[in-house]
Amino acid sequence: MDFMTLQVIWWFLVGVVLVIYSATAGFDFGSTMMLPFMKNEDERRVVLNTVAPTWDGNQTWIVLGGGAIFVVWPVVYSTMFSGLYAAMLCILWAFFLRPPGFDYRGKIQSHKWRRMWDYALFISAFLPTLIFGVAFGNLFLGLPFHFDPMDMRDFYTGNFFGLLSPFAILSGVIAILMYLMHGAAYQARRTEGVLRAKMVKLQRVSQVLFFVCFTVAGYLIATKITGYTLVASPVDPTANPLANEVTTSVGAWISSYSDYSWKMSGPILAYAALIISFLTSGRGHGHMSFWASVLTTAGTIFTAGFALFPFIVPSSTNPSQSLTVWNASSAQYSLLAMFYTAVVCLVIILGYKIFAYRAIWSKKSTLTAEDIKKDDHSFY
Amino acid sequence: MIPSDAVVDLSRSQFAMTALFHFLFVPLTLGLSWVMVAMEAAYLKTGNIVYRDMTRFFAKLFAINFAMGVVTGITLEFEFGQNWAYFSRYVGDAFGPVLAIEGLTAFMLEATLFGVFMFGWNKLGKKTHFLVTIFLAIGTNLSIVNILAANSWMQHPEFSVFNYHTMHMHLTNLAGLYWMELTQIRIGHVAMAGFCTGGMFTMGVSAYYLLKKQDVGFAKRAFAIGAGFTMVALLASALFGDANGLAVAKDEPAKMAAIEAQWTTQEAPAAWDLIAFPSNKTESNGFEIKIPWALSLITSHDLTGTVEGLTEVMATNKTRIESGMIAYNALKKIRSGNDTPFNEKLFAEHQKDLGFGMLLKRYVSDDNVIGATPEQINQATKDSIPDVATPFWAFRVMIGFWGLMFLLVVLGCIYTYRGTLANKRGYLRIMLWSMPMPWLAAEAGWVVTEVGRQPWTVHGILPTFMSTSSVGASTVAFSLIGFVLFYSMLFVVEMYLMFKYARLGPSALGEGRYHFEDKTTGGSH
Repeated sequence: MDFMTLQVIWWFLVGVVLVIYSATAGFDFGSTMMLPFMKNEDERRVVLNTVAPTWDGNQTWIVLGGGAIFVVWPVVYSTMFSGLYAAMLCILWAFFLRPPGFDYRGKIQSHKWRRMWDYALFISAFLPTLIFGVAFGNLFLGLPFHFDPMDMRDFYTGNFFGLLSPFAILSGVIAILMYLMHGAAYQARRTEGVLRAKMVKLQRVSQVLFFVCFTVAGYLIATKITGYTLVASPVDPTANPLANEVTTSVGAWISSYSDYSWKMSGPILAYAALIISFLTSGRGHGHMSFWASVLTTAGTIFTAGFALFPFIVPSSTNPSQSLTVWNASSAQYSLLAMFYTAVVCLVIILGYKIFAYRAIWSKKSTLTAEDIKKDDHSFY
Repeated sequence: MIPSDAVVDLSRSQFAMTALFHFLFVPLTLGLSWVMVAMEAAYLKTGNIVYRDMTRFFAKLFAINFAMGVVTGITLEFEFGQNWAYFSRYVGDAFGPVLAIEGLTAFMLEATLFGVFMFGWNKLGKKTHFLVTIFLAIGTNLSIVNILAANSWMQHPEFSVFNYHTMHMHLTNLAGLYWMELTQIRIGHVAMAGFCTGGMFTMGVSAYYLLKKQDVGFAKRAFAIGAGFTMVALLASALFGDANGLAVAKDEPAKMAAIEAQWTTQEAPAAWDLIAFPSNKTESNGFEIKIPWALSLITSHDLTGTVEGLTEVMATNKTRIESGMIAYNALKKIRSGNDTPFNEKLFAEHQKDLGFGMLLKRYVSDDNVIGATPEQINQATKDSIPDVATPFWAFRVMIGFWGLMFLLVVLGCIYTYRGTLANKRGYLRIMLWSMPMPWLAAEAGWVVTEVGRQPWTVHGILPTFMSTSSVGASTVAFSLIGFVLFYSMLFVVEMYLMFKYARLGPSALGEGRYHFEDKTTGGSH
């Protein structure tokens, strides 16, 4: 396979991993975000235990995503994690609350103890989602970093509060709403009765809000936000990563859609799936609505990723040093070796993921407070 | 420009603290997962429900521990990027693949099957559940395979080349990282250390029940499984450890010399320092107790072996530093556009010593490595070996605990065989208090490896002081304090639950078959 093809394949694969992460861990995040606002402990335990058996496996997709970025674009990994030090620290520390939130919450029968973990689980879902959304929004604005041309050491000249522009915060809100509606769609599929009715309502409300915010963000990108255009890369981009020819102009992200018509598939998928999910919510067992919600999260991430292509992270202070699909990747051998490894592993993972979900849900596709009471010592 | 000493020291402290803390949870996960496989196998074979309860009970302790393993493991992935950005960029192409494979194979498998294992008891058939348990154990243990492949590459970087255009190390053979001798040996060594931890833990918990005369039948059986398990693991870990020593002597002479505090090369048969107070300042040992011939026996299994002394190692390093100065200067010229055939040839000739040239960057001003004074070269030479006392003592702590555990397990096997275990209250008390031993040995082992590799993050290629991110010292200080606080709080919670559930014993399952079950009001899950 030639180098550029591999680079594009890996760009797409990283995107796919992020999509799977959003589509699976997304409903775990959405579900645990609801806990502090639910009045009834039985209902809280139902919500928690619908996600408990599979949450850890879902969350691991972000570990996979991080690992993939490490090997495919080491410079993106190092520049972003160190540049966004405080933001990454917030995400990490919030994640700390998640495993004990699930594993330890039910281990002591005390109202205070369990309520404390409800809030901890809320933070562990809300904060990382918000920050990831804000960070994604900042990719459109560009980040202030540059490199020392001799030893290629990276320098980041912004700070945490510099990330919090109105557009970036809007992106954060979109991320929250996306997971909330997805979590509600999941709960509507896995619960029964009164609880289910509440979830359908929550799903619809968050979907409407998501629709509005997503559209406003698109409008801002078209009319207000200064985008980046890669006019030309050097002949051997990975050997000369600091010599891109980049221009900036308002609406550049949207005009890139007309250069590459395939980019339109992102927003089309997002809107179509969102409408289907909304219209089918509350119908049948909620399967259709849930799967449409999965596609909505996929469409949303594709919309953002496609718009940025071929950029991964534009530099606002030195646009010529922007990180792109062409200049930020590892060498051909690593990309190829990891491509074969990843394909084999992903097929195997898909196999045991299906097994895991079937093992938990094939006997009965919903969970109720009665189910938990029957086997009180095993549930969280 | 290189990061300040404060940033380097703080980043090192933070990584050392978080990695050692992570390894409080890993070995138990590694070992206990196979102990549970053994217990569930006994259930499948005998059909005796006590083995099912035993598996499920130890699974509760496993879960409490596993949660902390997940918390502390993800930290390390973040830290590579946050605190070691230059390292990550420099070696991501060569080192990253193994970490990504770790996610693809081990972490995903264990994280997915953990939920099925915990929640699947009533949903899956007996045999299917047993298979899940086996694959859970495989998943947890695959992580050792990958992490050790990554870490062994840092100790002995093969199968990769430096490219001066990209300033990256590029991988040349992915499979090579796994087939490397050092990797294979260390996978075995660390896996066995984990099994030993799982075994000692099972014995310690069971000893507690025997002392309290609580669930005696359950505890005797669990103790026997733990004892057999630990015995095998201890012997195997020693075999792998011995092979590891030979590989270190071959590939990392400075580390080997530091472990044995050898300042000059002894004539064979060489004496082994049982106790010594080595000082890098005076380049000698303060006080020594030596065992004649023992060092030769350890290194070559006969009387001909010896260990290259640090004086000799430093002499070699000095010539490499001088060669590395030329390499670095040529690299600078090439990268500033002066890529004449002469400079490229010069660089190619001295490239293997580039890392040694970089050691001077701490001392010269304006990055003028080629202009280093003899004084500065001597300083860099002194830096080219690790602090000797730390690996020396850490190694002896590891070996010492191994010996103690071996004695205790031999006794445990004898008592179990004779059926007198329940009466040996003194021994049971010792076993209870010996539970931390495998952890202390494992932590000491990592200190030997990592401190012994200094001053490098990637041996001979990238100095530690260059590897950190371009972040402020106060930023790292803040995160370090945060980690200490967070980890302390979580550790208190973890230990509280661990003790609570270990004390409850199998009654925690709520099956109505065990001690406490008529008294408690079901306050636990």
